[in-house]
Formats: sequence, structure tokens, C-alpha cells
Amino acid sequence: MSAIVTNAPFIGVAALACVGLYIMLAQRNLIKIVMGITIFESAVNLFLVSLGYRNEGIAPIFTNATGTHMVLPVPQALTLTSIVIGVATTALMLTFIVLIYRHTGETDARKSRRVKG
Amino acid sequence: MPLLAAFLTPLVGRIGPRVRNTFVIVALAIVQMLVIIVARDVYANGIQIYTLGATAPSLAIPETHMVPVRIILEVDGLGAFMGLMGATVALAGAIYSISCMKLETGQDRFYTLLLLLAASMVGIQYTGDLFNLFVFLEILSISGAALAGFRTRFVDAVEGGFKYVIVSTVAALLVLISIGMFYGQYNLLNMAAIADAMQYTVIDKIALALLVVALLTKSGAVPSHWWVPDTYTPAAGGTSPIIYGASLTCLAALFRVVFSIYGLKLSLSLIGWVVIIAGLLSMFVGVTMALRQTDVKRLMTYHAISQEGYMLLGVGVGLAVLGDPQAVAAYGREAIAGGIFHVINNAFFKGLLLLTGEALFLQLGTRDLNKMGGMGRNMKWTCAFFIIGALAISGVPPFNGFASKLMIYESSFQLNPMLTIIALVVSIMTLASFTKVFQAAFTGPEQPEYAEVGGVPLSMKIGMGILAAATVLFSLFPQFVVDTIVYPAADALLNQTGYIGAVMGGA
Amino acid sequence: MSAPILSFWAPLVVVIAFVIVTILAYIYRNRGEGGYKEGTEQTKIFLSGEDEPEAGMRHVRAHNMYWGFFEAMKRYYEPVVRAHTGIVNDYLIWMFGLVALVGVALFAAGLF
Repeated sequence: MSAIVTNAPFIGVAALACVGLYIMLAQRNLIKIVMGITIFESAVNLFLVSLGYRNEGIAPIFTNATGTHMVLPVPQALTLTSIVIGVATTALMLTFIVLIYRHTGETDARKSRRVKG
Repeated sequence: MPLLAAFLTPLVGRIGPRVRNTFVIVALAIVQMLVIIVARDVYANGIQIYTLGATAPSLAIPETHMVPVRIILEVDGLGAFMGLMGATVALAGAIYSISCMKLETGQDRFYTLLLLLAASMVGIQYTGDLFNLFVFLEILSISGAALAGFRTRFVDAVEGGFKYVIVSTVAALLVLISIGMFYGQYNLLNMAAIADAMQYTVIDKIALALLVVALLTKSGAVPSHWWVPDTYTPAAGGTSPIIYGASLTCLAALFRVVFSIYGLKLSLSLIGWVVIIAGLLSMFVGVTMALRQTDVKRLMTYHAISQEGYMLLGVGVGLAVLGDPQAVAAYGREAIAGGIFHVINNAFFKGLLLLTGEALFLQLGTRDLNKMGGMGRNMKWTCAFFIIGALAISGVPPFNGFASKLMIYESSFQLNPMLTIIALVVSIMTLASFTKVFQAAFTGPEQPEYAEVGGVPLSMKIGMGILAAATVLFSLFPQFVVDTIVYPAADALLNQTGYIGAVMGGA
Repeated sequence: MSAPILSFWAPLVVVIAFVIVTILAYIYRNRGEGGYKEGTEQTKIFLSGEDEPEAGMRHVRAHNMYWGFFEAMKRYYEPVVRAHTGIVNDYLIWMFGLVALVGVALFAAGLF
């Protein structure tokens, strides 16, 4: 039972990643594909943050530390960077979808392709 | 340096278009000189380390840790080599774009994106830290996708940019997962430190699979090459060679990861053969699809995939024999050097060919080969550059393509003769497809509808001329180039202990 | 430390050979017939007595050049061209499929 509790974040990561993966691979609507990528990205960010957890640790602010037990701060920095990058790429992807819709009138991945082979 | 220039460009652009163009060119020329200076330093003195925020890595160690916690930039033979390539290609592409983009709006943003792309190319190679690699990889994806989809009035440009950004984002996420795995295991992000502490556990294997596939996808190897033709074909102005250079940078990042982080602890023959098989598939599928194309630039991008196959083949052969020092000395080093030499050769002549394709597009308004004919009379310089590029890429002596391909043939023959046979057949088919383009576009009787088409503007000729001059230069002195630039890069890959020791052991 | 592989095919040798052959070809060309008149029957393309068609029809278009090759390789080309669909989902499916394949291969190699 305690194994599930200590590993709960990672189970959540796996669940989110599977959901995101399914959406990315199986949905045909372009906006849904972008949503799937965003969910997958959240899974990865959750993975990064939960790597840094130490038992009975507190938030890693230096002035609060009476003992030496802090949650690792480095993965939190990595996750922040990753979230910011995710915002930028999502914005770019959605812009492209808007432009594709303007050109072709379709948001289905199968119908809106103009190049192949 | 390019980052600074990138952010200043929109401000300078308000003064006027000519000032901005000069500013961009000067910035890239300065980058080129800096890269050459760094390269000479590395070749003379060995691996160079620069620690952000401290004077030496050993000073940046806090009390409870054993390893430095700063971001460390590390330039060795491979980094210097790729930096040279990136700077040259960026400079040529920027000069080419000046006259090419005159008709477009939003030119400030175009040059900003171009400088960002150049910055990310150099950054990926010079970093010694895995997360920094990820950040630069994302910068590369975003700026590359925006440049590919820049001409939004064409639907295939927008589609190409969209596919690039989706595939790149997912690949970068896979890289991030593997970085997370490394961090969870070793509490380290520095590549040399991870290499030092590496035990080849189950999680490491998963991370390896993720990293290899993600970086292969980003560099455009079969069977993850689907985005490449869609993206390079409509890329605006002179940025096709730069985006191609960015993919080559990802390929070099793959080599860096596999050699310097994992090194001898891999199950080598497997990963080596994975790379070799990816190389063979890329070569063959790339060339056969290229023969079918009717669009000039799409044909050339399929060739880009095929040439990536050569690079993968060369380095894969070296990787497969890494555990056997005798084989390494006999032909492994040769193979890796051949693959790396082919990287820089390709950047030059494939970039040149992509620029000529773009020139044809601008002058004729179409990329369809079925409609072209007889342009050799009107576009003499473009025709000459095309001949140089086509002969070089097919591996015809005396060009540099032949030199690097000969190194790859000789070394892969000793591993397995089948590899060399496939490589030779692919080379012949490459020549065949370029004959097709040459005959269709440049020779033949003069078509009546194209009678008034003139040559290309001067800056485009200069941009193409830089790459052509680099190709010819490398062709005439291959031995010198190989000894000075390529062998140090190959040795840097083989010398994993040196890499670790430079960062961990001392200042 | 330079490998001897390139000494045989050294580019300067090839360039010099090329120059020599070009000079020889030029000398031969100059010793040919000089007494023809431009623009008359003597310099037009010879097609066994027929008229030459216009420029658009004379030029072999690009896609028709390698017809024989495409016919011969039809069985290889059909699935490959069909695989290049242009749909984004397929791109991603290939990538994740590769990850699974390489991962499985790595574990299998480690077990033996």
C-alpha cells in the first residue's frame, strides 16, 4: 500500500502520458493533436518535479531551512523552463493551425494536407 | 553573440532596411571570426572549458555536493568543427536572403529568427550540459519552424512549418524525459559528470532508446524522415541551408550523446547496428524517392535525407567497433572521420544546391520540373553553381564529396562488404537524379515562355558563391582539411576519458 | 598521421588531367571544317528530312526521363510512396514505434 502512495506521482505521470499519447496518435483534428501534445508535456513536467521530492522535505527556500531537509530545487528550475518553452511552442502550433484553416478550410489532418510523397 | 544580435535586430530595423541588413551581415561575420578563433584555440590547446559564473569548475562546488552545479560550456574538436560549419552556412544564407526577401513584409522578424537559429546551432555544439542542450534544441525548433512557415501566403509553407514544430516538440519532450531519468538516477545534468558516474542500468537503456530515436528524428533519418521534405521545401529565402545545418547539428548532438556519455559501456554492436541500419535505409529510401519528385527543392531535400544516411553509416561503423581497439585503429577512426567530414561537406554543397533551387523558384515562379527547360542560357551563374554542387554530392572526383565518401567506403568495406555496395549504388542513383534535374531545368532548347528571365541578383550570387568557394576549397585540399579539422573531431568522440577529465579533474 | 587513401585520387591530379584533355579537345576542334555558313541549311538540326518541332515539344520533361526505372521498380515503389502520406499522426506513430523497437532490442541484447 505504501508503495502506491510513494509512487503516486509516477503513476499519475504514466496515466497522463498514456492519455496524451493516445490523443496525439489517434485523433485527426489538428487542435486535438495540439491538446494531446500539451497533456504529454504536463506529464513530463510532473515527472520532473516529482523526481525532486525528498521525504519530509519542505519548500526549498533557504531562509526557512532550520535543518537541512529540503526538496531538491534543481528539477523545479528545469520544470519552469520546460513550461515556458511549452507555452511558446503551443502558441506557434496554434498559429499555424489558424493559418492552415485560412488556406484550406479544414482542420482534419487527413483532409488538410496538401503535400505528400 | 548571435543572441545579442538577434535581439538588437528589430531595434536596428527601425532605422532602415539597409542598415539592418548590414548589421546582420556584420554580426554573422563576427560570429564566423569568433568561431574560427575558438577552433584554433581548441586545436592548439585541447578541450576548452568555460564555466558560467565561476572561474573554474572546481570552484563551483557547494559543500554538500561533489560535482559542479553550474552550466559548463565545453568545446572540443567536434564542437569547434560544427561551429565552423554553422557559422559559414548562416553567413552564406543571410547574404543570400538579402535580395531574396525584398518582396516580403516583416523582414525584421525574419532576420531575428535567422540569428536565433544560428545562435542555437552554435549553442548546441558548445554546451557541456544536457539541459542546456534541450533548451537550445527547442530554440532551434521554434525558430526553424517559424522560418520554414514564413511565407504564409503559400499553403505548403504553413503546413511544413506546422509539421516541423509538432515533430520537433514531441522529439524534444522525449529528450526531456531522458534528461529527467538521468537526473533521477545520478542527480547530475552535466554530460561529463554523467559519463563519469554512468552505470548501464535499465533506466539508462530506456533513456538511450529515447535519446537516440528523438535525435534521429530531429536530424531526419529514415524511418522518421517524414517531416523533412515538407519543411525544407518551402523554407523562405536563404534559410533552407541554415535549417539543414540545424539538422546536422542535431546529428552531431546524437554523436556526442552516444559517444561521450555512454562510451564504452554500451551494448555497442546493437546501437552501432541500429545507426548503420538507419543510415542504409535513409540512403536508399531517400534516393529512390528523390528520383520520383517533380519539385526541384523537394528532390534536393530527399537527397539531404540520403546524405544523412552516409553520415550515419560512417559513424555507425565506428560505433559498432568501439569496444575493439585494434579495429578502431584500423578502420573505426577512419569511418568516424569520414562520416564527420561528410557532415561539413554536405552542409556546403547541399546548402549550395538548395540555394540554386530557391533561385530557380524565384526567377521562374514555379518549382515544377515538368514546366522548366533551357535555363542554362539565362542563368549562367546558377547553372555553374549547380554543376559544382551536383558533382560534389554525387562523389565525383576531384570534389570533396568524393574524398569523404571514399573514406566511408573504405572503412565500411572492412566491416561488411554489403554496406559498401549499397552505398555505391546509392551514389550512382544520386548522380542519376541530378542529371534529371540538370537536363530538365538547365539544358535543352530555350522555352518560349521563359525567354525574358534574367540571372539572379548579386547578393544571391555572393551567397551561393561563398558556399561554392568553400566546396572548391575543401575539394582541392582534402588531406589538409581532414588532418586539421576532421581527425581532431573524430578523436574527440573516441576519447571519452579526456572529455570527462577536462571537466571533472581540473580547471 | 595522414592516411594514404587519398594520394591516388588526389584532386590536383584530376584537375590537371582535365585541363590537359580540354586543351587536346580544343586543338582537335580547331582542325575541323571552318567553311560553313551560319543560319542556312548547314547548321540546322538534322531529323532525317522532317521539320523540327517547336521548342516546347522537343524538351524531354523531367518526370518522363526515368520511365523504365520506375516501371521496373514498381513493386518496391508502391508501398513506399503510399507510406509517405503527409498526415502528422503517422509521423508520430513511426517515431514512437521506433522508440518501442529500439527499447525492446536493447533489452533483448542485454539478456543474451
